[in-house]
Amino acid sequence: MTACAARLPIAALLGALALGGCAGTPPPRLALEAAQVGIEQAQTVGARDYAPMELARARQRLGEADAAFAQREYKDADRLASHALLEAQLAQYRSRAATQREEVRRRSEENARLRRELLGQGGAP
Amino acid sequence: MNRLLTGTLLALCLCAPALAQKVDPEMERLRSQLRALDEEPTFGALAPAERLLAQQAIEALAAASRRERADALLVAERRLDIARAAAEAEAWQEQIAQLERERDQILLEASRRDAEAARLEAEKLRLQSLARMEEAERAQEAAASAIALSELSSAEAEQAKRLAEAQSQEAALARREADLAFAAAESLRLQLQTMTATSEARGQVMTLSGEAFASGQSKLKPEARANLQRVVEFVNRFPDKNVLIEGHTDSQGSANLNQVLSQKRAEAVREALIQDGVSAARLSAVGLGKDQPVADNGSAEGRARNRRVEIVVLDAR
Repeated sequence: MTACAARLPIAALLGALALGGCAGTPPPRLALEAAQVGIEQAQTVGARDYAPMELARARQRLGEADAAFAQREYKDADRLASHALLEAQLAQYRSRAATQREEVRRRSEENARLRRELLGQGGAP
Repeated sequence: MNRLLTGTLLALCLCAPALAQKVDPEMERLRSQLRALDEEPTFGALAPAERLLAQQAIEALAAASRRERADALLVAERRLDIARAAAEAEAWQEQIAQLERERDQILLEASRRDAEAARLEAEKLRLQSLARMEEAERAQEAAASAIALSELSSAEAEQAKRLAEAQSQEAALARREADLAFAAAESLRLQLQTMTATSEARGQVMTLSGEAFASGQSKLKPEARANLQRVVEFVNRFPDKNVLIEGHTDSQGSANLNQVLSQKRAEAVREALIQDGVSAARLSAVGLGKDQPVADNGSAEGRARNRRVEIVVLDAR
């Protein structure tokens, strides 16, 4: 979780760079790679379960970016890649939020159980 | 952070009055969404970088050309979504940390209670063993005092026993003395009842043992007095003859005293015979002292034989 959190700003930075290079001329390989990495990161934090819609949008955007890249529409490819990265980042954040919400629920129950079993108190979380 | 954001927004409004001239409903919607995120109390100042990026994207929308607008709008929307999701994630993360602290406190409290319970249990056990020890001591003391008491009573019993023994010894002694006295009386009675007369030159003689008198006394012992029947019969067998009653002693003591004693004893016998019906005229008593012994005065037995009263039925006349 912490490792992912550390990686997110880097991905954001790459995306921002890709977005900034909007001259159109150079092929946006880094932007595409950043989007791809962002999607993979989202998958590792459970986006397939917790943010399937965001993940699907990210993939769709990346597919469109790849298509534009193949057409040598580099400016469109770069723009679509940055959109894909944004969607992937949103998938990551929402997945993180969801897993941590579950963690909070699990720990609340655990604490209530401990209070009940160790301290003999009513399990009010 | 909020102050910083509003400050930046305020600065933007002041520096770019031209852009603010035309009211953009999309812009207003996005800005109010960002404000709502800023004002949400559960999020506080969480995810500041993501919020700044969202703010930047909204401003970029304001600066976007007509051709870039759709794209910029989408980016701003996503940046806002990301800022919100990031704030949520961080808020949950804070709750997780809080729950972890709570968990530590619960475990700490539990171990504190365990320690307290163990301490109480140990204290209880200590008190119990103390009570048992005191009980044992009390029992020991009770046993000791019981032993002392029984020793005391056994001492008393010992004393009583000794007293009883002494008393019984005394009683036995008295009984033995009584037995001895009885035996002596019996032997005297037997002797008196089996007395026989012997024939001598001067006549028939019957000898009454000195045991018939108490030591140094001239009076006949009661048992002797009660058994003079044989002497009376002997004297009456010869009714017409005179009877001489002679008192004798052993050689101990003064001659005068012995003479007086033998005289008195002879007279005592004479008186007794008179009382038993013998004629006083026939009876004469004489004290002869130690002068006519019949046995050796050197031995106790001899002296006993010398102490006597002889009743002589005189042949003469």
